[in-house]
Amino acid sequence: MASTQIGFSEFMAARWGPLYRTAYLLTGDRHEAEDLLQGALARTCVRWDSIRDKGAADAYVRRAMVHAASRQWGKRGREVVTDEVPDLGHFGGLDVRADHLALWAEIRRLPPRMRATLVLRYVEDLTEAATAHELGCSVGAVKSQTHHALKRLRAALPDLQLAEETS
Amino acid sequence: MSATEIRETLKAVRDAAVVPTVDRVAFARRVRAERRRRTAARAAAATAVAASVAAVAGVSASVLPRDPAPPTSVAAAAVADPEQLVGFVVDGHLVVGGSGGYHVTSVPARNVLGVVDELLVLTDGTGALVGVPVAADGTPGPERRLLPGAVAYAWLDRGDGTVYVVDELGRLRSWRPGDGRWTTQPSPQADLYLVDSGHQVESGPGGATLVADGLRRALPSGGGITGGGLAGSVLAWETTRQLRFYDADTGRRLARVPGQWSGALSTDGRSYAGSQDGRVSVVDTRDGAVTDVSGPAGLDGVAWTGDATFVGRERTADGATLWECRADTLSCTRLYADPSGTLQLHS
Repeated sequence: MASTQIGFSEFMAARWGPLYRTAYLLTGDRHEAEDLLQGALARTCVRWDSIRDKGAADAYVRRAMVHAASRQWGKRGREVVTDEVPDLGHFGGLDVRADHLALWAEIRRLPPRMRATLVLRYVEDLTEAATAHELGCSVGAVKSQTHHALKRLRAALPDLQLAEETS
Repeated sequence: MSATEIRETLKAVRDAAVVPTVDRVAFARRVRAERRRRTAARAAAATAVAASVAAVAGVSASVLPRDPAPPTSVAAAAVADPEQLVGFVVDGHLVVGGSGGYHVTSVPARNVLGVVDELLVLTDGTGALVGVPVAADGTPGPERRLLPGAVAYAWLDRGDGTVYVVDELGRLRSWRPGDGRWTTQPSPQADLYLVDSGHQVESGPGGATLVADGLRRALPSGGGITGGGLAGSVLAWETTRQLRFYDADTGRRLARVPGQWSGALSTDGRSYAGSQDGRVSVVDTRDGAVTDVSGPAGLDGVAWTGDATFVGRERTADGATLWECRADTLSCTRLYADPSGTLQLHS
């Protein structure tokens, strides 16, 4: 069968789910995740013809999400850790183990940049250098964000005995 | 507990997150806004460039003699006539090649689906499905709309010459050249990614599924789906990690080849022509044997134009080149050079 090479609509249909999940980890909120992903996909849609390597479109969208989220971090000014986790109601929809749920609750309390660092390092499996490139910061900043994220999580959940992992 | 626990937790949460359906109305609104924003940014940039060019020209005119205006572009050039009829797009318009040379038309075009029964089928930038009659030597006739309205997706089954579309109302419809009427198929239960006569690949939040008579088979995402094709009861499934071939009737995997491939199945489904890592190859879909083809350093938009002939575009520093390759002799011929770099077979 001759068919068109994968077009944007096909790409979006196939990758909406996985990309939404990444957006959800980045934002910690289902509504923000949907908004972030829609914006990144809209940017990708209008640039689709200029993306030569369609196989890299996933990474393109992810980068667009990280950049868009970064701009929001800047608008919010100083990142403030609060005791309130937004979108608590969604916890009921997550079918995960209790210890994962507890740790996820603390990860969501992390400042967005720290959380994004963990997502890129530990879920997207990017190197420290690649994570730094995605976040637009130095490798040192990635190491620092990771270190402080683990420190905060250890403090919040002392029973988990989190150990730092080197790259 | 180590940082591995964070990885496990994040991945568990990722997998458990309930994915909402796409709000297509909201998304269309976002796309329109993004297009407006981009157009405004380009206009602003163009104004700035024009102003700077005018300023430079003003300075130059005072100190340099006036030279004749240089040529503004290098014309596209036909290098060789194709063995098989081929349609492609240059600067948003259809070009048809045949034994009688190339015909640059004024027909707006975006995706060329292929030629069946001397009718070249394409979609344009507005989603219109258009047919252009073509003679054996490549001479095009007057184009005509094959279906009112726009289509969201279109596929051509070269095996039996059936055109499938998902129309504006989300209906799957089919038509064969020579038939007077379109047939509306049973409504798809999910987004359709690939369609041919007897098989479909559906795409949903849970991933992609091969659907055939009595068969539903989940397909691996393999780090990201990059493409696929159905032909001759074979499914080619391209991901960022592997190229896999399946028997589309039974779902049985026939072969797999490592690497990120981009290509197309031959009409009988026995061969796959594609590009990976800067080389062009023909792959036997039954055992995965890879045989390299000499000529271009990579092709995209690969499309089969005959039983043993396929075409594809090579991007070069000088623009784009259309190649025609033979799967039996494993050789390629340069057909058409496009300095503008807008040459494409599919968007």
